[in-house]
Amino acid sequence: MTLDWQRAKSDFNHAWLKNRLVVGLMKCLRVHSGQVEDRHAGDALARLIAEWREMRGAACSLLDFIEQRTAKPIPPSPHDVSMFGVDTAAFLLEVERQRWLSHSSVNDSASEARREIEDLDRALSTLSSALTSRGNTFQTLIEDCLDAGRRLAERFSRLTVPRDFIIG
Amino acid sequence: MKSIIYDHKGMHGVLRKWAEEIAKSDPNIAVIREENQAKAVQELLKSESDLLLVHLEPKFWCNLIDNLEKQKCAFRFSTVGFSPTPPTGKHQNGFHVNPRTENEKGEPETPFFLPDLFSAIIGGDVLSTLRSGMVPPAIRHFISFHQPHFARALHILLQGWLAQWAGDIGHPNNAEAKKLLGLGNSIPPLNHEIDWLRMLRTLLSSSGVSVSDPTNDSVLIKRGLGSLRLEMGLKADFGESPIKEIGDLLQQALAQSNDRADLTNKAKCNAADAALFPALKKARTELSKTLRLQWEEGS
Repeated sequence: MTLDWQRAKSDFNHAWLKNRLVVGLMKCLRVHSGQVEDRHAGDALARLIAEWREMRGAACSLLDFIEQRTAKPIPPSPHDVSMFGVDTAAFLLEVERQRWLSHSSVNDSASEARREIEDLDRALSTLSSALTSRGNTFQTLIEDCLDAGRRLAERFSRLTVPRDFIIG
Repeated sequence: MKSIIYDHKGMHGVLRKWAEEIAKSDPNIAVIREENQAKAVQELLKSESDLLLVHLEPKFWCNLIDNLEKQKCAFRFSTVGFSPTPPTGKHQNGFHVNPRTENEKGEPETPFFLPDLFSAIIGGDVLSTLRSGMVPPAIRHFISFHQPHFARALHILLQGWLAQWAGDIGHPNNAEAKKLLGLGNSIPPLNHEIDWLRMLRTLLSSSGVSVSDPTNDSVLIKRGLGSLRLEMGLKADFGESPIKEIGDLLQQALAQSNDRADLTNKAKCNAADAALFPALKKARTELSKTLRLQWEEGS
């Protein structure tokens, strides 16, 4: 599960948020300011905003999993139980989980991440309504989305979960 | 040696900015300034340079290393780093660099490792060692081929052993174990005796390197150290940290079989723990350092 979570986090934070949304918003800023020409930049941005609904769900699932991990001890895997016995495997994983809890301030970080998801949601929603009109505030709206996107990416970069197996 | 550098983020990329700086004073370094990644890959493949440092998206990286000539080497960077990855490409000459290049603000990661990595790569026999499937010590903090699963499992086991001492007020190592773990009062209760030597032997037996006689302690230790060496990309020489410290611990611990034969004899077990403590502390510290340097997937 830990490895699945790490992969899912990478898919959301690295592959989509940092490399697609933030990059797409930066491109739109450059197009809007006349630095570069790209007739498709607006359409690409609209597609990214549409994708956010799904990505938002992925981000929330990642946080749900963290909250599960903060709430209770991790049950050892059948393989670890066969290797070390159920009590010893559970003890070793609980020491690992307690170290994660005490060293990562994870409860605060997860709450902040939820707030930042809402911020990005609001910013993208406002930008979406302005996509066709592109009034005077268009640049500011893109910058708001960029700020919110970067803050969320920075937050997710720091999120971790404890290892949930010893050998496997 | 001629080198060529490309960053798909252009001047927004840390690799590109650094390349522009060093290229000013070194005629052997070329920078590709093409925005289109597909065209950049064609330029990289046509280049005479033997050393390629690149920041490319996955499909362009695959295209590059599947067509890269055998005598060349390509190093792939990422703003968020890569997990340990075996050499890739048709000729196994594509290498993933583990540390991230940028922090969350898009600034160079601190410490900025690119100059150290670059000077190590162009010096000595680093490239030929890499091609042979080993990671030279000079760059083992930057490149690794295997996920450190065995190192992590050993770390968890040693941590648990320390937690037992930290939770036992009467134990001779109680105070120092508590300090090392840094768990305050959150040490989980332990309601059963753990035969730590049996756990160590179990872990060593599970390591991936096969040996002739898995019931012999010295063979088991060899097996465990072999797994660590593989995960850390070290050569067969066990004289280096953290291998040495871990080897010392395993030898000292498994030699205590008689002292720990009766787990209910607290006094004897405590004395054995006290004798083992310095070695366990050193080994765990070395493991922690190594694991911190390894990139965790999921940035």
